[in-house]
Amino acid sequence: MCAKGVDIGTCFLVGAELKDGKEVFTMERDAFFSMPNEDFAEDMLTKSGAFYIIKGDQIYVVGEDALKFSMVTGNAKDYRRPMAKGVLNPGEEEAISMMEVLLEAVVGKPNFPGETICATMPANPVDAEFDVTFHRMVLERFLKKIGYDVKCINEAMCIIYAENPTVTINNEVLPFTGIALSFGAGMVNLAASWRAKKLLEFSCGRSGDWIDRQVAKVRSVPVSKVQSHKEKYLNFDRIDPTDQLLVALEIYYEDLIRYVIGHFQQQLKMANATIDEPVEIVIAGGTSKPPGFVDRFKNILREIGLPIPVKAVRHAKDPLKAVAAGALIAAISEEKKRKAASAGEAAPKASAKKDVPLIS
Amino acid sequence: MWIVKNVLRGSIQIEDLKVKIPAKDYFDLDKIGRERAEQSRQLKLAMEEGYLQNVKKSDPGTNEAVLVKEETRSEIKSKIEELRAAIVKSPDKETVLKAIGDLRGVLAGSKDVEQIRADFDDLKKLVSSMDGDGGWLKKEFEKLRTSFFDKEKDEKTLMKREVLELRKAVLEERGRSQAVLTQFNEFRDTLLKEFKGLLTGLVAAGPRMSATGEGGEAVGERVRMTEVEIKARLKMLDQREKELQANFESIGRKVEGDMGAANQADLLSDLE
Repeated sequence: MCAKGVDIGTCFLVGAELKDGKEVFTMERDAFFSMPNEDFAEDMLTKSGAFYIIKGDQIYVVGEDALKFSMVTGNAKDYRRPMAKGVLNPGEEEAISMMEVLLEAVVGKPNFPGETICATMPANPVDAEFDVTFHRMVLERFLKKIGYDVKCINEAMCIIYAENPTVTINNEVLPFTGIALSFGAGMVNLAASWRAKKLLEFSCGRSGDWIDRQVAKVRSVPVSKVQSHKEKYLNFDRIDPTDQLLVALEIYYEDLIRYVIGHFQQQLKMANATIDEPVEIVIAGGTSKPPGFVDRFKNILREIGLPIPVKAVRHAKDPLKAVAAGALIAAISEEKKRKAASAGEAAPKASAKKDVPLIS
Repeated sequence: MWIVKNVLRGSIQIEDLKVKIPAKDYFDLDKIGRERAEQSRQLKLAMEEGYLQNVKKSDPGTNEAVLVKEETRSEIKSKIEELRAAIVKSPDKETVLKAIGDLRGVLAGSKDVEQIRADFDDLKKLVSSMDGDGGWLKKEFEKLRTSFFDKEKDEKTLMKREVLELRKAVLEERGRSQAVLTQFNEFRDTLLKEFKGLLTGLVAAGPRMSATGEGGEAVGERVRMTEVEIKARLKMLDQREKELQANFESIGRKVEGDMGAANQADLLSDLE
């Protein structure tokens, strides 16, 4: 079955496809480093094996190499990112061009014209003025242009597809029913699902990048140092109280979790939602990667509470790839339905079980 | 409708019908009566000899003009709402001026000129009631209206004649080439589309230009500008993509996973 998924994240692009029955993920850092196209720049980059793009008098080193060049040269100013807060970076002139090149290089050309690709999109944020329309239109247009049949899906819903949380009602297990949170670099996305149908979605415009900036500000250190320290040493089970960066990271992580749960409470109340059966919460995303994060989330959730019963909170099996895997699952499912329809067969139908909504 | 064309370089006179058809011109024989025309020996001879060519001969009793008009009106109604939105996306003065110019040309060539007089009057009332910086629009609209209905009859006739000529040419070609017919239909659709779009566009543009800082109007303006911006940016992307030269086709670290995607997809598609 040919179909692809792609997680278009603020920090990483993750493509997913099936090859010989196995899932293959392609991960690339969503970044570029700009430098003037001077005499030997191109030769130097070619010899070093870096991936780059030439545009006029500028050279852009892309992906993981961009971070390396930024660190080697000590130049953080020219380390740039096409995405910010979960969408195309409005303050970055080259955002769209760079994103398109990176995206095509990660997902490749379609295996056949009209191959299905599911691309992840954030929900509209509850705490910011912008919406995701432009972001969606640009990326959808580009993927269509290179030959894909594009379906945009909510990134938190992808976690639902990949992790399959369930609810049991009257001894019947309802698949793809629960709540998923994607703690990305730019945003936190949340979706509530009932039998794979999205009931509620929203996003918050702060997440890992916000934490890094806040910590950098209060500790007067560069953001890159905070990021590096976080990735190497942050473990919520063992916070060294003498390490001021780790203490600050812990504080802002907790603040972020409270912020997200607070918004979730509000959204549930606004939706007048009633959930009778305990649901599972699944967490994924790079910001949730530090050990102990999920336990910290559970503790804060227990303290604050939600207007719905929670059965369990668990981490996705692979927090960095769960969203891309979910996009791939949705794409394969879509392709299957399309093939069934074109073969004149009736598409697989849901069981005749009456559809009692979980959230009303 | 029974249209014939005189393919000769001289005029043909059909005595028994008292009809004279100029060189390379068309004539609707139904004007003198189908039965009478069919009984004409001279006409029969002219057709057999190839002096006259059958361009279109419909079944007697079919009132095609009525059918076409009804179809056109119905199409106008169905398209009005969707085209209103299309016009709103280009609300700048230059676009509206161009729209007025185009509308002028289309109206002058339209057979339904008199039927849209009421729409024109409505538009005039709307434009007249506008405040703010819509003065230029009033001026242009009045100029259009005056030119169209009162003074520039010659221009109107000329343009109308051009359209009719085109229609004739298409009718002539219909028997020979389906491709030309398609072209004509496209042309007709374009005319109709522009006419309807511009008409509704003027209506839509009116209140926007009369905005005097009311809250609701301001929000509407912002939304429209965003759409325009998106459209413009998307258009620019094609150009900008061509400026890039990459030294790679694929990128990224590949890793295999074992998340049971195929099984999950089966479960998902069964459920959906």
